[in-house]
Amino acid sequence: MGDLFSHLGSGFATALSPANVMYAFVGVSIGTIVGVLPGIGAVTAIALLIPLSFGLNPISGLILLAGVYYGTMYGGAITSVLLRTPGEVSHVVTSIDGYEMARRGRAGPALASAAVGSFAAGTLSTVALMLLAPALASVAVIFGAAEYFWLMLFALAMATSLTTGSRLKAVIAVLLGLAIATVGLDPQTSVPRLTFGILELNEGIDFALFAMALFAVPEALGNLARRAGDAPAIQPIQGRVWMSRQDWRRSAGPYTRGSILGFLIGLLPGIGPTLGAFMSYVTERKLHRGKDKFGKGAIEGVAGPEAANNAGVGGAMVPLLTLGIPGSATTALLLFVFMMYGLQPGPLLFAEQPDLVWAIIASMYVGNLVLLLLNLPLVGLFVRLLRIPTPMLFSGVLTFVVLGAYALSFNLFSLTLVVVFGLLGYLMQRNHFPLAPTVLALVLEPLIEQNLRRALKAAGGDPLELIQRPLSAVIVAGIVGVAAAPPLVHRLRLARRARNPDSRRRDDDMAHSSSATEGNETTDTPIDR
Amino acid sequence: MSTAPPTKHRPHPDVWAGAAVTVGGVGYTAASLAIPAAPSASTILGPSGVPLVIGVGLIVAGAALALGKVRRGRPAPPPGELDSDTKAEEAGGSSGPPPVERRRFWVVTGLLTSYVIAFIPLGYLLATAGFLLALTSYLQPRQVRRNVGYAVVFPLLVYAVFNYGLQVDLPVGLLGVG
Repeated sequence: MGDLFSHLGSGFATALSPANVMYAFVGVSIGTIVGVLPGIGAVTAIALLIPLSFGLNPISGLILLAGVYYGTMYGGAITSVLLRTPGEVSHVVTSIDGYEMARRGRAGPALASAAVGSFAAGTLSTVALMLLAPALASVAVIFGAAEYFWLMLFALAMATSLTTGSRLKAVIAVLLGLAIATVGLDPQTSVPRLTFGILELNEGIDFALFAMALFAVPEALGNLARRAGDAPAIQPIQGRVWMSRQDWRRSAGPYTRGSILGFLIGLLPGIGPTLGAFMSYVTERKLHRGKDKFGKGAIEGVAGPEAANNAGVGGAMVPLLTLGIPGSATTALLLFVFMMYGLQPGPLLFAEQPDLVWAIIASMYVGNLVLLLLNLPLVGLFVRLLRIPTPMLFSGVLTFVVLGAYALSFNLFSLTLVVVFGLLGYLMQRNHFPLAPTVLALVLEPLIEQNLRRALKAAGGDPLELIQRPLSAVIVAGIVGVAAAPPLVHRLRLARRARNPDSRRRDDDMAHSSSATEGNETTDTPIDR
Repeated sequence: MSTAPPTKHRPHPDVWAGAAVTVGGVGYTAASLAIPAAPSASTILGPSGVPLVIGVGLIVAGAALALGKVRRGRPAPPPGELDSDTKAEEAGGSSGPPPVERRRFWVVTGLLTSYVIAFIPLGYLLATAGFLLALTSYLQPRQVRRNVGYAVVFPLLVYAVFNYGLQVDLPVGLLGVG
């Protein structure tokens, strides 16, 4: 424990330098703005900032980008409460009761509950990360290439199984990401694969460019191609942005439950924070069943989910830092950033780069505090962003995407790929294919192939040896379980509905309330980017 | 006595999506078969191993998606209407967003493509100003002053931030000639 605090102390010494505090502030601010603006998610924001972070040292760059991540977790709550338009998919459930609170003149307490919950849960999850990550890293050294191979497949299996849309489409999305990742020179043999003689493809498809094009371009194209409908009414904020004593009392339990739930679910590779928010809402609703508050402005329906999705960020960072396996599409992008800096997340990172890891962890404490201090007094300013006309907003986004693609490679071919992958993303969205699994698969494929080759080499080419180690067998069993669970749960649910018509009405209400609107990744619920 | 016209069965959109994935999978698999073998005989898993597995997966999954909808024999709704699946997927507590207009979509996509092509030869400032002006003028032609102001100020600000603040050189294009 002494070592832990000494590491944390040195982490704070780095994170609290004026420059790094500024980067945390900038990251959280950008994240909040991105979270407020519809259609621009954390993945797009981080992908656009990657070229800018080239000139920064790794610690500052990662502090900036991590700040963007949890900033978006709060920013989306503002539009959920004031507009009933979630800025992020993880805020869909917040919009149910948050907007009702705003309609009843309680927008201030709703926003305060979201901000305080985000701070509390973010801090708690950072503490949990701080305690769990070193322990997990010390255990993870026993993972061999075979285990890593299966663990990454497990992450992809989770991403396909726990989507609310078609699982088959999620599988296709994963395969698409894997296919795109194979383009370029084979890292082991340097044989060109699927380059069709195009020299620029020898380097493969840049992950940041792909993420920007896949997420931002379809959203921009879709919004620009629609005639403006009636502008949604922005609910006014009456009175102070703060909670009464009763609100505090009612929020305390959901904060605690949401933090625990969000962190634990965020730990699961391939899932991310969004599922935690949904499950927190379901949990709070079940705990308060019969009180007829939910759907009519229950503060518990804001406090729990907002705590869960911020806690999920800390949870998602655990597999990233300790195993090098992203917990979400956003952490997949952070993994890419680590690799761009020449760092490999995993158990050795704690041993070889303790200053970097603990500075990132310490910066999460700092960033959460900045988030609270920034968002409560400045919420009115953020709301004004919602009045930016759609043509200006999304045309600006498109220019940033093209600019970002140029900054990555400085050639016309990459800019062309922006249009190609943007149209691909648009077609995927139109046909309800989730985007996040594609991004996850793209970043994991090189690691999957690398570990598969190492494992086969160690096994002398015998593929059966890949499942003979006990740990490998357990992970494979997990993959089978994850694949088989959704159809089993579905059958159990059908059987329960047949026995109890009341439960069917409740389930239908929940599904109706939590249906996502069209948007960036709202077709991906509950899997986060 | 009049009879109702027979319901015209049109393929579900997933049939086309599945077919496209299958065709793409076939193309990808064919390209994977053309990947040269590893130069070293000791390589256990050659460069085409994983791509072939992915290709076969795409073919199988695409066929499953297409055939699944064909087998269920769902009648597709008349053009312009949503089918029950899409309605269920898009239904929410409030009315959904307005539909995408095809003509606008292709105009916006065409402008984006033109912007991309002109980005390097014209330079960031000219290409971006032209793109923003063209796009905002097409979408909201009455807001002339706002559109022109935005098309001029936004690229200048971004150029200043990137070139002088972040040391990322943006293309100067025609403005750098001479």
